[in-house]
Amino acid sequence: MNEIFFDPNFMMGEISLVALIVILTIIEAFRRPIFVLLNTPSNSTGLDRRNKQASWFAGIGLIIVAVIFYVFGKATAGEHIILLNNSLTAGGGMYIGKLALIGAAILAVLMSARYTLTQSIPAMDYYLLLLFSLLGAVTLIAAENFLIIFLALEMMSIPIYALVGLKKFSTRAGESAIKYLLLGGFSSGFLLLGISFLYGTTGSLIVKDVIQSLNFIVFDASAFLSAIGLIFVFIGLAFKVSLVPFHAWTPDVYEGAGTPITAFMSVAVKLAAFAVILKIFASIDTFGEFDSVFSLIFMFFSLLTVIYGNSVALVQQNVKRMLAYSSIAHAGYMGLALAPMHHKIHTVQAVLFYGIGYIAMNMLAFGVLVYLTRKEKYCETLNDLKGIARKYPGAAAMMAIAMFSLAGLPPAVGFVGKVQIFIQLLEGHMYITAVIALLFSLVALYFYINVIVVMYMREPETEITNIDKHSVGPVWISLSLAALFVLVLGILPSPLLKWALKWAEMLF
Amino acid sequence: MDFNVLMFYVFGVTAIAGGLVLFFAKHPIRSAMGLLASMLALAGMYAILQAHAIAVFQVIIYAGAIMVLIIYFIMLLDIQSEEYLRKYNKLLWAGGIFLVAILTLFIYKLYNILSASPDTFTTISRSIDPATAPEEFGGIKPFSKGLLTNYLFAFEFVSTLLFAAIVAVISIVQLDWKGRKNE
Amino acid sequence: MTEQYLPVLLMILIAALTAGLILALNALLGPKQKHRKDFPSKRTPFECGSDLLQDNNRRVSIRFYLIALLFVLFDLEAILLYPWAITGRSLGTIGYIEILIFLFFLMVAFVFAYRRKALDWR
Repeated sequence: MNEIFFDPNFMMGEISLVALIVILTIIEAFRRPIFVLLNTPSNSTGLDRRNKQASWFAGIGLIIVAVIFYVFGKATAGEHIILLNNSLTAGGGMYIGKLALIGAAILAVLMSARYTLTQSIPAMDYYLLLLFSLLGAVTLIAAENFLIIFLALEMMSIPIYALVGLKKFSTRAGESAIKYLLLGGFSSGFLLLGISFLYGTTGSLIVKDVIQSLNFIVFDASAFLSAIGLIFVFIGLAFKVSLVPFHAWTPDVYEGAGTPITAFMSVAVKLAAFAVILKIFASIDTFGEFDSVFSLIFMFFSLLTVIYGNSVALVQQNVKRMLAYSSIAHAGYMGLALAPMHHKIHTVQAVLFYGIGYIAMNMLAFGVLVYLTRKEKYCETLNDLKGIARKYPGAAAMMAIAMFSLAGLPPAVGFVGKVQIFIQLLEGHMYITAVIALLFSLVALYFYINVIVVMYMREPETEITNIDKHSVGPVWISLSLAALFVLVLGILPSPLLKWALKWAEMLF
Repeated sequence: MDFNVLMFYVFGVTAIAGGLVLFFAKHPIRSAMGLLASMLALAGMYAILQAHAIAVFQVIIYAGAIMVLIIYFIMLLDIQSEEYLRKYNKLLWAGGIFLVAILTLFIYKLYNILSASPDTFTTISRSIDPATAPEEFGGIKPFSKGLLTNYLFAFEFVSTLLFAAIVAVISIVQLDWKGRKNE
Repeated sequence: MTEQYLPVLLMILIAALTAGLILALNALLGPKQKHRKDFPSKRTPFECGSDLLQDNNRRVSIRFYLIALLFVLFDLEAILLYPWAITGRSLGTIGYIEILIFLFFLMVAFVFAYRRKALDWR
């Protein structure tokens, strides 16, 4: 590992992403402003046409960016370097994480093509914010120092705050945006305070140096302050991944936000924030005194998260809320792998594997909801899904695949992910924790399977209305891509395990 | 007592007093003034701790821009009904308990540490002593130089962050929309 | 280094004295208030001016908020230009390129805001 101040080859992906953002902004800025009139068919205002164009621009641009990330990532995979005076890690397996996040964004854009049309949302703003958030996420996972971690985390979150509230005249969206904004600001405050404590006690902002000096610290005033600092950093990040005492925003925000945004938020933000948690906490050495403390903290909070998320999800009637609680529970599983603090690299590998698999399966579940949306009616509750299999067998099959995977049943990627997590727990001799987590994933089976039962075996209460025909093609592409990932990686997990290991190596 | 140290305590007390005014004042504009006093006192503390650039930024950003924003919003929102505020007063005890708990923990811990080694803070505070600080430390020039060389990426990243924030603000306001839908 | 703040301290003292003097004179010479309710203007945000003709607790255009937020964002941008203004000459061409990149993004953002008529007042 060596340091270079700047080499464009290592940053070409990010540069192209920024270029895409700038180009899209300028395109949007120099188009004739239109006025959107409500209560009129949206076609008459030209909004539909512009939304379609925007989706094309964003989709194709993002695919080009993904190709650039892949080509340059592959070309620089031989080296592991640190760029820009300890700001970013680059090279090595880092491109895998970035590609996973971009993949999530591409799936979200494909769904949004339909969503922005049915909901009459100005699409270009929407895609710009999505791309900004993506830029924040890809910077966040590569961040080498706390300053960049904070900036990238804000870069990732601020556009999401706006995206959540982008649906105008929707009180629900406004409510969730305000909730998310206020609590997000609060958690950023915690993160900053923690960072300043760590900087004060160790005199460095670089994650590696901070952790290094923590490993040799003795318990005195500065150890106390660094422990508080680390705990505050943990709180700030735990908010983003919604571990339990910091989860309260999750169901409301997931319910109020547009479905593709919810999907993106639940996978990309979670994965990026987990990558940072792993970077900071997984490299705390075993002989330091912090190790056992944080092992305990992760065990406690993650177990609480698994128990809470799975039990509250049981009683949800709204599928989006149910998926929100399930996403809380999944954050718990990912956090559990950190508890043993054993075979660090494999722990990280297991969590990253789970995170990448979770992108595919959660995107699939939310994608089906986007597919079933009507202009005037969301498809959100279990009632809306009743008997949907007869009219839309394809969508129901996709949903069934997603539910199988989320529940952790064999032919899907969720199963392999859970097995990885439990292997970590067993190797760390945490048998009781493993048993409790396993019990609650059996509880989770009920509400996941319930969705399938409702779709296939219940009679619809009212006639199922036809869905809008707006841009169903892109949604189908995203659904089939996600389903493909879920099934193929579930049956043949070894390539993904290899990728996750490559990425994991970059976090140390 | 050294003049610097004296002023440090004066500013510290002012900051805490400002914070208390912010918290307990019934009138929003008085709260805002309390916040302003607190921020300015913090700027004074930064200046004494040789962080001149931070002191300047504190005054310009917080006492300047953010205070303008806050007072502007107070003008626009103008919450007068006290019933509205009373609803939140009920939650005061929860925050109070949390605050007392944190304070107890901190004071207990500090007491322990200080009774074990009384010179802990002398060693820490030696690094902020003006006499031992390196020449030009914390001045605006070395700060600027550092920002534009060592922390260059952060500097450029902030510009994209501001870009993102501007786009977010404009898109969430959605000036293109006309008319209102009843929901 | 802290000696250079003496003028600032002096100014703070003078400001505090002036403000205190005005408040003291007000308390001495102005009408005595027993209850806050006696003065309706006491309940308005700025506690001064003539009494309101109507309840101003009504909605205002969102453009006010937009202007305020854009002010803060562009103010931050202006503050981040200070470092370059001070060290620009010593950093030479590289510093110039750095600040051009910085300004480029904000220029794009500004064009976006301008074309969206976020700065217009209609």
